[in-house]
Amino acid sequence: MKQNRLICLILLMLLNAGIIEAQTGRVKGMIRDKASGNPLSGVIISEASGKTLGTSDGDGRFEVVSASGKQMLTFDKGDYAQVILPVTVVPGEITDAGIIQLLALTGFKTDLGIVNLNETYTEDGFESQSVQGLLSASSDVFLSTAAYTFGPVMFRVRGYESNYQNVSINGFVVNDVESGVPYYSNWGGLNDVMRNAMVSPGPEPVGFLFEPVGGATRINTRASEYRSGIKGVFSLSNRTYRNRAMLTYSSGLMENNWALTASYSRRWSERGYEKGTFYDAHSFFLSLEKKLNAAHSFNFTALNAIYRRGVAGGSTQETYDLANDNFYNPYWGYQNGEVRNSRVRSNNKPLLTLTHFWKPSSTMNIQTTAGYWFGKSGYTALNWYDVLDPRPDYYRKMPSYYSEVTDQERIAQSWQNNPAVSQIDWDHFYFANRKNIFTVNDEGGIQGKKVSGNRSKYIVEDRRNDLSQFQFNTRISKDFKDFLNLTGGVMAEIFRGHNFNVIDDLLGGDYWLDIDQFAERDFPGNADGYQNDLNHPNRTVKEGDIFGNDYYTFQRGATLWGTARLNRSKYGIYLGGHGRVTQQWREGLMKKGLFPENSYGKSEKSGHLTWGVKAGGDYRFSGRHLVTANLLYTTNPPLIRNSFLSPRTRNTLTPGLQQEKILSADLGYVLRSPNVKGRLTGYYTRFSDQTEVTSFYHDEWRTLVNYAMTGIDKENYGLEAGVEVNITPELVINGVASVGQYLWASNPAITITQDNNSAVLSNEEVWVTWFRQSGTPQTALAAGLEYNSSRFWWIGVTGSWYNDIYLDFNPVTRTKDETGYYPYWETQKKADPGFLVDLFAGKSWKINDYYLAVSANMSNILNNRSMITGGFEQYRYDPERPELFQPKVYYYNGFNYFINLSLRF
Amino acid sequence: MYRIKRSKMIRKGYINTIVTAVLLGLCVPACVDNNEEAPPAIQFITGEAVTIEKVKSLYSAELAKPWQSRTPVRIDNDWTIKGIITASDKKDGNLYKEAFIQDNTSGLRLLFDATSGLYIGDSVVVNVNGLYLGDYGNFIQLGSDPYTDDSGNLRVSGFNMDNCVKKLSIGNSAQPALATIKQVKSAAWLGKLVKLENVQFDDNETGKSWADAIADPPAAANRTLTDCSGATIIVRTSGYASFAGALLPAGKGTITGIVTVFNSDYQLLVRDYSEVLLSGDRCGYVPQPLGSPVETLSQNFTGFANDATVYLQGWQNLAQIGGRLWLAKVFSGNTYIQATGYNSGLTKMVAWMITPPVNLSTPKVLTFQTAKAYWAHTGTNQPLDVLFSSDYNGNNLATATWTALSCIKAGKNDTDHTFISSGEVSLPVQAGKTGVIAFRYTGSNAESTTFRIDNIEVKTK
Repeated sequence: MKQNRLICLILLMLLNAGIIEAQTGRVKGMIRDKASGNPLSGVIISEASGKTLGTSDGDGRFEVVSASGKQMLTFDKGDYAQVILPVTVVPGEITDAGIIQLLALTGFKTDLGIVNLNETYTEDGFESQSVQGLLSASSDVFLSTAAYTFGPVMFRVRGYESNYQNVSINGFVVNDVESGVPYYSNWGGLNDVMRNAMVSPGPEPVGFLFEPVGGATRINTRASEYRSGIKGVFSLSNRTYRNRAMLTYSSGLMENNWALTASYSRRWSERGYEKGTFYDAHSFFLSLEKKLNAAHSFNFTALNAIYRRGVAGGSTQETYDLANDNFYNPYWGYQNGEVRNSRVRSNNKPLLTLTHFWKPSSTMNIQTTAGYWFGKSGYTALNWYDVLDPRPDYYRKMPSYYSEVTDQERIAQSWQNNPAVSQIDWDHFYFANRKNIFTVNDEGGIQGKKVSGNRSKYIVEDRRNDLSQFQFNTRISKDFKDFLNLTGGVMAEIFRGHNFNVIDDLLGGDYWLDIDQFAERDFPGNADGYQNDLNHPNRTVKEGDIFGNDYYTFQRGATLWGTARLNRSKYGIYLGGHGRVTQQWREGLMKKGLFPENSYGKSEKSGHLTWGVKAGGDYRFSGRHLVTANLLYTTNPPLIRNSFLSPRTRNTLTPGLQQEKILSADLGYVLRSPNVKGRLTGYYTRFSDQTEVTSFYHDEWRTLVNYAMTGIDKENYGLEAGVEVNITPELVINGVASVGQYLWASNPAITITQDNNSAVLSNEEVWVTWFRQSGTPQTALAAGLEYNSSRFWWIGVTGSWYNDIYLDFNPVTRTKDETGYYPYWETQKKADPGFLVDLFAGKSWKINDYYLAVSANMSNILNNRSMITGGFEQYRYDPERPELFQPKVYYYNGFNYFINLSLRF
Repeated sequence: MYRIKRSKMIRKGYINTIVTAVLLGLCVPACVDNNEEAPPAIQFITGEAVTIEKVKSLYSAELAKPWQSRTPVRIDNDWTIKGIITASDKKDGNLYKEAFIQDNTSGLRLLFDATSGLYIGDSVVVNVNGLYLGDYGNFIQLGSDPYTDDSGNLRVSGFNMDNCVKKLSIGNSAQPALATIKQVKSAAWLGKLVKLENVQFDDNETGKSWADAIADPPAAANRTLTDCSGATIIVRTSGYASFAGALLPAGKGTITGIVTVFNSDYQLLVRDYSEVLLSGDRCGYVPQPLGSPVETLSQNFTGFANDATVYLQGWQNLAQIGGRLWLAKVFSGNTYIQATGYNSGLTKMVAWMITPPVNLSTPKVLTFQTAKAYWAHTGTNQPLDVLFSSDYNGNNLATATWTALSCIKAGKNDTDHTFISSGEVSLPVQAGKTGVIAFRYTGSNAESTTFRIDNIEVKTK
């Protein structure tokens, strides 16, 4: 019913649009930096609806056309606090707003490092850092709190997964094609050059593509739009890294009509918060613009974040208790007396974009981008053969594996007193590998060829996920009169992902034999069956060689989209739509012994035609009171990672694969007055027919198993509220609440297959309706107090409380068995609520032309070390002894800090 | 203008600063790394060389106790044993997380915490210092720290192979010793590799698989192996063995394996399926050449003892499926032959009794008597077929042309144990040719009808 009324309202507004012709006037003024008094260019001036009226020029001056009457103009610029100014606009006249001063936020929040850097709560090991909320730090107190306060606790706005937001850099969509997720790490460390962004928290248009339900972030790195000068930043932290240095230079638009902006940053650390988490990153950025004339300009941008970092893994509570440390990291161990991590993520993926800006008239602009993104990312892991699982928290090495108290005590003793037991024992790996003499017969499939030497029993492999992606897009935006804007465009991409394993370190051995050890155990007599690659059977591999699995994923897609925006003095309306074709396929580069018929070569192509429409807008009762509404329906192609049943081994498409459908609506009330700003929004979203494919080792069946869930429905609904009150111009209190229900809304169908044979083991149902989605607090509350002194120092404190944090469930125990029962079914596990207090303070100085700022952000000052932010039930399950496979959980860091020093001139 | 001036200044003055800073940044990686440098080699410690027998003797005192009061014995001597791997879990899946080592004195089971990584023919040294000796059903094994299992028994756990074992060379010969069943059933042979000649699986095992591979989880099984003198030993096979689901070979021959014991039962553990060579003729095999053509036949089986296998000059008594043959039965002074699936455990049994060839140049008439008991065949299934072939040569049972002869047989509704006359069955007349008559019993453990035949006669018409 609510939706129907909304549609009626929108239609009424559309009708009115043609009848009432608004009267307009002009507003002019001058914008300066509050601290330095320097004029500020590039400040975006918009009216209460969010419609951009114009930007300030190089001298800080502006003149914009606005509807007449009492208007609330907002002034926004990256690095600066937003200013809202009430102006009375007289029709046909120019109103002088005078000098508007913006307070720089340098060193306060905007220079903060990575917010979300925890690993994903799943077992698949894919890259998982998300961009959640980070870029959506905006003037909206709810979103800014969601990003900076809730973000570290893995909070997701409205519970949406991060693949439901779109992030683009100069029009190049940087969401990972295989997983759909925009990974912040791809441009980490380039904070100072990534701020020029248009952010939409939801389907509201930012003027590029069909903004998805989780919003869009449109980053622009046009060289001429950076503040000219040099900025250096040095940061100290005990979070993911200890040190960060960033240096950015921007020329501004020079007299030869060139503009150059370059940035370099280095982040490094011997260890982060947990032991074993070294960090070693270099980030590079270069943007070069040539302005041909008033209408044409070209901009080239190249960026890359190269890093290697040691990862911290979650473990079971039993392990944490045994280690007497909730931040125990099972991934590292001593090698030659020094700490070495077995799980190292690395990245080296340059992104190149070339953009043409064309402004044929004052009311029209055309932006065209061609971009290429390529390179490699990896995640190392141990692999082993003919030895006990070398991970220290393996269940057979835990006291709980034994039933007798004396045994449990003996195991606990050795675990607690010997780091070779409680951590990875690298020295032993070398010891074992260096004496394991073995001869491989018919090596590489060559009759009679023998390879002798030490066969490695333990290795470090690098699971690579490389990409090569080309994108092209063009968008045209045209204003009709001053109240209607039409924007639209096309976008096309050609993507190839390359997934494979490579030997990273033989750990003292001479070679590794590339066979499928699970298949070897199951079919000991079938020498063909356990080959990973029948084209090269019994192959010995050395460091740098590809082994295990090797395949391409391909995706080609094209999108056509358009948005119409109508803006009147009392209301604004937008309508948007898109259509997309997507084609996906796999190409195997190895002929797997168990699947000789469909592992090598190209799979059939999976094609999808998807579309979506949306509408929304706002109605202003006055400049201070607004209601906003959005309505969206769209279909999405399945993610390529879920399109194949077992992409590592074969070309089989997931049975029952469907397009996902999303229906979403929200309704909000916004209060904007000079002293009180606030928002209350209610939302409802239903996701239908999602597909999820996961793989794990099944204990009872002794093999890798693929679980393909189809027909997943989810519902997310709730309320979000934020209010910010200026008690004095300098003292601000704020309160934020997010209360939601993020649910599984169906019993998905499940297809279970083994990785070592082609039989479908089971076609069943998973009983999870009304289970909660995991990985985010579904209730988050915060209250804060901030003091911003006019003498350029600030201090603030925020308290936050979280509840309804659910662990990801194990579908195995909720799956119907052959007899039609759910013998192991149990309710979902939930973490305890948690309370955190954060403190931040800073000061800035202006000395001649030098601008110096220092800030400190201290999180969790009460040092709460027992707050679980998430986790997952292990997929391994022993019905006789469920205590063997307790869930793995993650704790929020205890007291942590981020100190920032920046100098700009 | 102001900004343009500034830009020029920046270009000249500050680029150096940037370059310096970048270079500084690039230098820093030296202090951040993952410590991946290979550690120096650690020597494998070989202690005093001793025999396997000496190590095993450390457990003699425990073995002498009742099993409930035994505790594993920790070896605190810096001792090393040297030997050849005679069996391992890396072959055919009959072993799991274990291997057997043997020297001139004895053999020993090594228990590991993972698949062994040792292969038949590896020459290894094992430093036993700190390891434990224990037993499982009186069979000594070498392992690590004792623990209490789910049933409350103290067991040695598996040890980490790489910590204690070093391979000296690979691909050595690991030849079994030749012995008889009677010989190997002694403590001296435990843990040793042995080859038994002239053995076969017991008659009762025919038609069974090595183990139960289909069960969930797969189950191990014991099968009785015998020699022609009647000595027996159990062959124990894991349900996870690659050959667990295969049918036991029906013939006689040689088999190789490790001698083990469970409580008081001696057992043989096959280490390599290709060393099971049981395809020869079974014990007591009687050659049954097809006889020379005859003009007439008259056979009432008199003279055979009760339960004797019926071998007659010129006749053939063949077990096509299941291993069961036609046996003689004596009741109230009358002797007849009988076939039955009763208590056989067989999913199918087929037994043939074939007459010598009969000259077909002149017209011949066949008569015989049949009786049945305990009818258990279902539907239209018949226990007995009477067949005729003129191209059977004594060896081509499966490929010869068999045609059914029309006759009267004891049926389901006839009285048990009562012989019924077949009536006169005319044989086809074929000048210059001969033909055989076959009585074929088909049954199983379930379709176990007992069938009897007597007084088979062929006369000239």
